[in-house]
Formats: sequence, structure tokens, C-alpha cells
Amino acid sequence: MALFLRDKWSLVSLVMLCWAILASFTAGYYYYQYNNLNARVQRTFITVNLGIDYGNNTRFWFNNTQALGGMSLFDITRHIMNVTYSANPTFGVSVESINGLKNSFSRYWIWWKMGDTGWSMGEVGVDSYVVTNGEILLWYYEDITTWPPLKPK
Amino acid sequence: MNTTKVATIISLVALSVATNYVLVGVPNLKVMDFIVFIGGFCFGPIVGASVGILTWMVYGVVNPYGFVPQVWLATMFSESLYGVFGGLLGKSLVSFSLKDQRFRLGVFFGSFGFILTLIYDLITNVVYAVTFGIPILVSIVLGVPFTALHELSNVAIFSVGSIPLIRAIRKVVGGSTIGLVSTG
Repeated sequence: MALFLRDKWSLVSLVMLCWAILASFTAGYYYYQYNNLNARVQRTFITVNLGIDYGNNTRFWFNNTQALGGMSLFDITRHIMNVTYSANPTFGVSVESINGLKNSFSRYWIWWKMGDTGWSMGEVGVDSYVVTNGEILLWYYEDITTWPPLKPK
Repeated sequence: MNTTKVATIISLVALSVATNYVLVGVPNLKVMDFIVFIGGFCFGPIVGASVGILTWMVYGVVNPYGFVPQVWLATMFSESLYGVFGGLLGKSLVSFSLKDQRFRLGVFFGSFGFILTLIYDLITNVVYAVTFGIPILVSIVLGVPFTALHELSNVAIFSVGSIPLIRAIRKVVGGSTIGLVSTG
């Protein structure tokens, strides 16, 4: 025991050992809780690649964004971006701005999804579209004076 | 066992039990472990173990969280380890001065408290799991928040409180029963 007091590195090792044990226990706890939650929601964790294009050649990707199966694109977007919206009982949710950039004639936020033939425009409201695992989706701020609007590059 | 030792054990047990009830609303934050450890450190492993066992004999039976015999026995045994290891540590540090290396001693006592608390929590969690038919690993893992609180609070108490309390006991009781070098 006296060794720990005579040799400072032995004491440092003892402190590090305590820290390692505590960190390992904490990691084990969170690992268990994660797996438990995963099992409770029937392992429906999915990952989605969600991008945002501000229409000025600035595009950011949130790759491998984790979500739960059954979540809509609106749920995921709102989770990782700053979104303002209006909700209509008939037409559902309409996004009004993302990250402070508002819809303003003639540029609006349109969402797109990547398929086998490239980008295709979202066919339903953002809150009605339930994402699936591995999907690539993009919010594109673009001119809609021509319809259909131009596909993202 | 002489009267001084008996009186010391009784006083430490009373102090442990009293502080346990005072802190009953704060789960896993207790100074009992520290008192048992210091009892062992200053007066030897037998006194330390006795303080731990006797404290749980009272606190375990009249316990606001309930009484489970298996867990009660486990806590008595585990608590006595603080006293036993405290006593062994006291004997091994017999040539050390409390004045010279206060910081190192503080860190060392804190780390020692951490390891003893870990052993205590592991034993009681395993017994709890076996008693209630819970998988042992699950019991240990789910107990981590409580275990962590118990360990960190004991690290703080052991590292900060050990040296002042040992010195205070030495002043009151005298140095004859304490192994540490008397340096004031």
C-alpha cells in the first residue's frame, strides 16, 4: 500500500484504474439501455441521409441520421434543422422556413428523394411521407416559376 | 477487548446509525462507509468490522426501504470489509506521517474508498439479483447510476475527510491505539 504513496505514478495508475472502471460501467449502462430501447421499439432504428441545399451552391448533408421507423420526413427535418411551419387540417404541414431561410416568391422549399432514376420531387406532404431505411432526401430552396421545378444537381 | 475499544465501537456505531437516518432521503449517499473505514484504520480490522456489522444490524432491521434477510446479511458482510481493509491499510501505513503528504494521502484514500465501494456494490447487487431472480449482469448494469453516485460520493468523503478525522480521533483518544506516526 505504501508503494502508492511513495511512487506518484503508482498513485496515478490507481486513480486511472478507478476512472476506467467507472467509465466502463457507465458505458455498459448506456449500451444496455440502448439495446433495451432498441428491442422495445422492435429494432426499427433506421438511418437516413438528409441534405439541405440553399440554392446558392451551398449544400449540407446529414448522413446516417438515426431515426425511428414510422417517422415522417417532417419529424426528422424538425429534429435536425430549425423549421417553422403551418399546419392545415386538410393539407397537413407546410414548411415555411428552414434554418431561417423563408419561402418567398418565387423561391420555396421543395423536398426531393433520390431513386433509381435520380432525383424525384416529393409526391406527398412532408408530414405524410414516412421515411425508410437508407433513403437519400434533400431539401432544395429553388425557383418554382417553372413547373415542375428543376431537379437538384 | 478493553473498555476503550468497546466505547469506541459503540460511539462509532451510534454515529453511523444516526447519520444513516439523517441521510435516509438521499439514496446511496452515506457517511457510514467512511466511519466504518476510519474505525478500522484507527483501531484495527476487528473494531472496524464490528462497527460495520453492528451498524447494519440496527439500520438493516429498522430500514425505511424494507427488510430482506439475504440482502441484510450481504450488507453486513460487505460493510465489514470497509473496516477490515481500513484496518489493514492503517497497519501498512504505520510509518507514514499524515502531515507530509496530505494531497497524496487524500487521493489515495479517495481511490481506496472507490475500490471498496465497488466491491460493496458488486456483492450487494449480486445478492439482490440472486434473491429476486434477476439476471446478475442486468442487476449490475441497471444499478450503475446508484453505484456511480455511491462511489463518487465516497471518493469525495474519503479523500477530503480521512486525514482530518484520523487526526481528530488521535487527539481525543490518543495515539496508543493508532498505528500512524504521531506528528500532530
